[in-house]
Amino acid sequence: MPATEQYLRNIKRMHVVFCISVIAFCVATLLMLYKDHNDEWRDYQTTFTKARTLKLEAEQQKAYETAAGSQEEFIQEKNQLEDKRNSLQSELENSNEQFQTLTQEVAELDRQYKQQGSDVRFKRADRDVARANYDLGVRDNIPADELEGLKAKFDALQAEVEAMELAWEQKETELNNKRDALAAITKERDEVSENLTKFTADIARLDDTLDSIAPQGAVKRAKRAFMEWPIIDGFNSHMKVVQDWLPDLHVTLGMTSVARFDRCRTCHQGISQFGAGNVAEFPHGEVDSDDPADWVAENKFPHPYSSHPRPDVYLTATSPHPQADFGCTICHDGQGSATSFLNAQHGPNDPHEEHEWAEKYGHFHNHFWELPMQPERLRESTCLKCHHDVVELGVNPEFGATAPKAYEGWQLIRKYGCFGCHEINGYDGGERIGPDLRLEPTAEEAPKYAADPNMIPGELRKVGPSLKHIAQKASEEFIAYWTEEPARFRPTTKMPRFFGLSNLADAHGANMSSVELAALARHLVNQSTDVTLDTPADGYQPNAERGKTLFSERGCMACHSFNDSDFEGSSADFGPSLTETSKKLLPGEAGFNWLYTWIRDPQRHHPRSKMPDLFLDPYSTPDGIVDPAADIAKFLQGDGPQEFPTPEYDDEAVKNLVTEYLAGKALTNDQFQQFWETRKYPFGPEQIKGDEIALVHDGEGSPNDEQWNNMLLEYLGRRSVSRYGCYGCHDINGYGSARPIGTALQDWGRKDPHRLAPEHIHEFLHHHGQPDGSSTADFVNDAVRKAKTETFNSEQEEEDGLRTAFFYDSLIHHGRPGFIFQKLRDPRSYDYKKVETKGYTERLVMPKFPISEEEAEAIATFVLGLVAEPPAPEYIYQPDEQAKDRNHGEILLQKYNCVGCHMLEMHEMEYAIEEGGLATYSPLPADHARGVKELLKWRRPVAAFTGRTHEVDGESLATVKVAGLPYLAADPEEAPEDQIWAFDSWEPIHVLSDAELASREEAVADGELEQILSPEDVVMPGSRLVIPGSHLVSRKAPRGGHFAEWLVEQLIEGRANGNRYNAWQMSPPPLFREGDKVQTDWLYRFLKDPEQLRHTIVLRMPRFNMSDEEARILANYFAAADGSPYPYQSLPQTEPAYLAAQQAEFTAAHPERAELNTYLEESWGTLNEQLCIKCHAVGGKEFKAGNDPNVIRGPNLEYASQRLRPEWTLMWLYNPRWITPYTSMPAPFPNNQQQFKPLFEGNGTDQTIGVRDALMNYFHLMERQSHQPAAQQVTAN
Amino acid sequence: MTGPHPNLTPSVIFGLGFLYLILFLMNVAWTVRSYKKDGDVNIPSLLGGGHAPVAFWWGLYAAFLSMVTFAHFTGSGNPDQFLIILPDFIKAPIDILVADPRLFFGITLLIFIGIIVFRRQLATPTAGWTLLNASLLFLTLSMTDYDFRQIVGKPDNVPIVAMLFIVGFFTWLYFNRANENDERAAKGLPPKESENNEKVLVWPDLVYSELICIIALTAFLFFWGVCLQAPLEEPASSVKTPNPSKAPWYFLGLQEMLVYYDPWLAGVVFPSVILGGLMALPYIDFNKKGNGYYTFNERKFAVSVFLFGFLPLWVGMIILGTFLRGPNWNTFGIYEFWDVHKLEALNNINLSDYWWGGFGMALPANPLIREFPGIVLTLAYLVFMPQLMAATVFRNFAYRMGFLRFMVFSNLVLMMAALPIKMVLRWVLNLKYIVAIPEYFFNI
Repeated sequence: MPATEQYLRNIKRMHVVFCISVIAFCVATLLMLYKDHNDEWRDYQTTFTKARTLKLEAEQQKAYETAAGSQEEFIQEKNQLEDKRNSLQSELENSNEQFQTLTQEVAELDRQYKQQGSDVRFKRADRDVARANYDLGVRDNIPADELEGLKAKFDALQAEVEAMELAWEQKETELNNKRDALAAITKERDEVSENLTKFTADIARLDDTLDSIAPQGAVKRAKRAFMEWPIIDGFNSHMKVVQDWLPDLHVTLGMTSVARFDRCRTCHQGISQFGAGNVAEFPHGEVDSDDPADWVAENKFPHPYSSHPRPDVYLTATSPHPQADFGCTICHDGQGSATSFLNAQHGPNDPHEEHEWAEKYGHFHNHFWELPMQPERLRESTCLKCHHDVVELGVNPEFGATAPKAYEGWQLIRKYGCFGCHEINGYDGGERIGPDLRLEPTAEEAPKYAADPNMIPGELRKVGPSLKHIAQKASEEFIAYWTEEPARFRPTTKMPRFFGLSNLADAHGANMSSVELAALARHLVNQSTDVTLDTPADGYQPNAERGKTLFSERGCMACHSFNDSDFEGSSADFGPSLTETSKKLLPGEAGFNWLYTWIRDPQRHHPRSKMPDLFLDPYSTPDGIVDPAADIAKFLQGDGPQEFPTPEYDDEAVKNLVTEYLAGKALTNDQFQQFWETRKYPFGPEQIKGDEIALVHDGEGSPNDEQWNNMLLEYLGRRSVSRYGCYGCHDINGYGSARPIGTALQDWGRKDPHRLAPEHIHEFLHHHGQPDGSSTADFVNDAVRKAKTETFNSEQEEEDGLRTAFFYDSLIHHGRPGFIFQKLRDPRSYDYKKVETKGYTERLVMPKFPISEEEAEAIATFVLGLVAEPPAPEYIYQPDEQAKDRNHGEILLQKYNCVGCHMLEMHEMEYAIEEGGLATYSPLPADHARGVKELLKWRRPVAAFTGRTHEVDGESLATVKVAGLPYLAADPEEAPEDQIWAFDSWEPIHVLSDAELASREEAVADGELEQILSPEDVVMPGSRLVIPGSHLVSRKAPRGGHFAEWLVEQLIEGRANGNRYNAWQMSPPPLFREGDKVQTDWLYRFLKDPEQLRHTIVLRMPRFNMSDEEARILANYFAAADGSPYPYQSLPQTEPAYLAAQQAEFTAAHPERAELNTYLEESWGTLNEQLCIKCHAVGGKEFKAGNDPNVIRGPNLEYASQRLRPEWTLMWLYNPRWITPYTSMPAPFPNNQQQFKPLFEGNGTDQTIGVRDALMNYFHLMERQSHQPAAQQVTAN
Repeated sequence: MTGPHPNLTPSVIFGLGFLYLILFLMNVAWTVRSYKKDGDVNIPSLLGGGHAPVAFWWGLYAAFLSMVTFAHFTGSGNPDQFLIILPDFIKAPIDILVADPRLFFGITLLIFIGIIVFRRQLATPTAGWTLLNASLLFLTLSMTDYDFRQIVGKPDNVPIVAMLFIVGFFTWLYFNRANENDERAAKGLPPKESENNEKVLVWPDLVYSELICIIALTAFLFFWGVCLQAPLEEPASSVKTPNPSKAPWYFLGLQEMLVYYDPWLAGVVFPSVILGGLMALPYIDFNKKGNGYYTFNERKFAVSVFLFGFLPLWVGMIILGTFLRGPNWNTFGIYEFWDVHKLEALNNINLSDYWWGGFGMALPANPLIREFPGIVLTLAYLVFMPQLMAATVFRNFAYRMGFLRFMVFSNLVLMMAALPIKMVLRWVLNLKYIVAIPEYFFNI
């Protein structure tokens, strides 16, 4: 080694440098390890463990209390038991010789038994080897003698095994006997032991759990802490990343599709923790404190520790979205594999929250991640990935509305007809990719669809009326006036506004739009063709006053509204408001006849109209013929038509617009100049394909000024219809094969934001943007400031402010949500300062719809959910047949506004009740005990008690919930404590608590319902409940039937003479559990062609413009919704087996009668007795109105066998008020009245069943009767 | 609510405070060094005259830096009123200068020439330190601009910023050493390197040093990896490419060539020629001087040509590609927002369009006829130019190299020159291709 001075560098300094670099290296390594280990999820897991420990401790405390009153007492009691056991034990050990001997013997026997067991196992193994060797020998075909040898070996071993097994078994018996003997001695001690175990079981279980997460012992704790160290924690530590691997749920990242790994539960540790009965272990709630002890005390847990809401729908194994199959990101989006707040791409719900997150977690807009988590307000959009039919998200008998906002968006799109311009194709090839919202094929397109079975046609009708015959209805002036601003004429219209919007506000725009308006009106009149119009009979004098009554009674107001003080309380908006109708019609006869024809036969004018045929045919009255359609038309005509201004426009603007369409496009500039001067289009009709055909003069010579003007307007009208896409909502002649003009939306939710054109929207919103013209940016800043300082005046203000703020923020970050929201809010704002640099015809055309910002948000939620990325088929919601029919039926209910007239779900009242305040059933002499039982079996009672309580006068009372119809509504002007509600219940309810019911169910395991619930536990349907206003907790409005309820109020004052029940009988009936009542095939026929059933009612079920398929689905819907069998029902009552059994029963019960009549003859006789005929046409005899005002004509009984289900019919006959409390029909055969004595010897129950069976065999019996001589006809005598 | 793109935020001001602190500490050290080595300087009579150590001025400067540092640490609470920023009247002209590739290229050329011409003045320690200070101050002040910060602060670009300082340092080092040797040569002394050329030991002089370097560098990389997280962008997608879509920084020079040349030339031929040419250099070089020691005077041509190829054409292009090329491959000033909506008129036409259009004729169908002016020009450039060079400025070279070596040399020089020539043609004439035969993917 050379000396130091020989080195180039000073070796000591080198050592120092080396030392420093090594230290730096160590520091760097440690820093790296620290950074690697310092994951934020560890903190969350630590906190969660703490919270869980505290919660378990609290539970333990509670368990102590339940078991013994307190922990001390528990320990005391436990110690006592232990002492007792120990003393018994020592007593046995010390003073019982027999015990000692037996114990020793048992121990010795046990040892021997185990030894023998071990020997047996060894020998068995040898035997198995011998058998395997023999089997191998057979397989390898070895010589017979060798095989024989192997067999012999096996046999020998097998014999040994069998012998040993026998000995072993004997030993076991011996041992058990000894044990039993011992147990007899130790019985007392064993009982005490068992009690001890039982007594401490709950606590012990909690102890075990606690010990596993927060051990008490020092060693265990040290081990647990040690397992959290870096590197060590890699070896199955309790701190670890929790992940759900979802191999079948893919996510598309850039170019590739990979399985999802959701690591969300790493931080959200409590998310899927549910206790028995799907109760959240860690219910969510915002708590101010950071201390888990406070969370436990309040039983509210903040994010990320809380459990998921709605365990019935999400995460649990019994829910439709079990966590193991679905994970998190399929619904929430975001970066599933992330383990930090930031990387997971949480989506703030508004800029205020975003600021908070920025401060707390360093959150920022990461535009690199394509699928950020959906913010709360748009969360429902992802449901559409799998729920392509959408309807189940809004109306669901099992779960309620689980995605009401997405559902509302879907409804709004259907209401406003967005799909007319923006096709939403739910199919890619034949594969379903999302919700399908497309127009049905036009007449021109239909053959194409018919020819190709792979093409799936759209199903939606255009939302606007047909304009094919518009000239018969309205004038050119009106069309222009209307189109310019529809809401000016009819404030409630759905038609959006195209003109007079911000991008047409400049002088050029205004000039050009007035030309377009005139041209549109001219073209629409030009294209209109005539249909034959009906007229009332000659000399008929329409009566407007009568028309008004008919208008209100014949069902018009189920869909339409009309401003009139007599019609207060009606608010139907399914069809347009008719207040203004008179003003727009052509004057005089023409307008009247059009209206008359339309009312009588809507499809003549518009074959696809949803307006039904209301059977408004003329009828005769004592005062002469009444033509209701004419009367209503007269009424609607009111003050007659209004004058509208002739559209004004500038000739120069006409030229400008024509120039813009033609010059340099269809024609060269020179050709255009020549055309303009000579008025002769340079090409002949055969060379022209487009709208320019309108510019070819078909007469001789050159057109005169008027013709020329007409040609130009017609041309511009055609161009405008195409430009604005009018045919997306209206049928117009000549546009049958035109395509929707807007962007298709089926995958808009994944549209690359770079392909959106925000233009100058940022500047626009900086200066304008609010409805009043003020700056949206200022509004948003203000809202965010208010959110920060918590100075919003109301929740509504907060919601509105932060909504705008959210979408504004999204828009300035070029997000899709902001873009679509602004597009809906102010579609033309994207033209801000753009109109200056583009041609008139390049300006944006999307119209402004009369929607609120809340509705815009709902639409945005829906459209953002259109991603055309369906997961694997097993994840797509595929309803069973029943659910499918229910869902499709639901759509049809809305499509045809069935709910306008019919109440589908009754009113629901929740109210507080005193102990025993519900009058349960107590048998009355008139009741059929059998009927009561059968009713409860047929219609299972629902629980009345909600489990909630309500304070009344300082007393906490249990609340009950009942469905039915109000009989008496409280007077809202009275003080709440004086208000009284009266209410008729429509379904059986039982008064047992859940616990009681469960214990009874347990007691009679697999028992029939009737063994569990007795009639005494049930409040029968049709009971009158009186509810003091102070006890009322909430009222849930019924589903549908608004018109019926309105009409009832009208009729009470009028024709029903103050009788509410009679008024209800005159109105459209509620369809509560209609599926239980009618036969599906009858309903199908009825929907297709409704016959007149009821005679009490003031209107008739109209005939809808419904396809066979739709009628089928709707008929199935009712049965599906009520869980009744469909589409086919058997009628066992018509089958010989049933009838033979009934006959036998009849013979046994009434032997004397049986000698005279068969069972059916007896029944038929009962049916044809003097009772039914009073109100019904029956047995070939027509109903005759007498003078008795109590007699109300009921439906013709002839239909019953085809229309009604037998179970329903029977219940109805037992007591009609169980089914329909307002009915006039009395219970026909009360148990305590021996009517029609010889028949069934006056037994009401037998008569009831017999009449039902007679009704079911009606035609058979009618036929038989008609073949019998009159003298032999069965009578009571 | 502050705007989405604030020039200053409290954390930026606070962070810059640390940069100034480092600068301050560096200058304190420099003041000490200066006090020991630099001696005195005259004080202008205006300030009282007399002498003062140079270190005095450095001390003054360091004191100023300490105040600036203090201001940053204390004034971070109120970004709107913070005054130490780069004013717009400085930003605007800089943006104009660098945002135009023509001006940018001109400036890099000027800097290159300046380096050569003023090498004696610039390669002194004081000048070097002053330049370092100036560049650091420029960087620090520019950081007060949001857009500058976005580009320079991108974790991707940090090594490029470091590279600029490294390139500057080594260029300075080269000239510093070369100047010294050139001066020695002028005095008839041997180069400095030959003075101290005794052998040293493998251990510890070599291996120990290497070990220390390995450990220190690894530690440095660890620190870097911990402090600057790898930048993640969106998942790769062939249907949606990033805008701008950039090559790794060391290829940005090549990518810049793609603006002017067809991919087969810029992506295949030129890189091959560059690699092959660099390998061929020792065989082309006939100058025996300058081996094993720094010198400029003895290798003026070789050094200048290399530096021209390296500084303006390679490093300059990397700077252009990294910091100035933004969305749609448009150029942006360093303080300019990378606006995707910015449009630049980019209509270029081929030489054949000029030629046939100039005669008022339609383009011939046969590509060879159509493109004959470009083909002739290109051939002339590659075949006749070497002859011309051999006959004129490079007569001496041609004589000493011999035909083959001279042809290789001259073609390499011509190819290198082809890039600036094409750039100028593009800028001046909107020339797209000299030879454009897209039918056979052959464009020059």
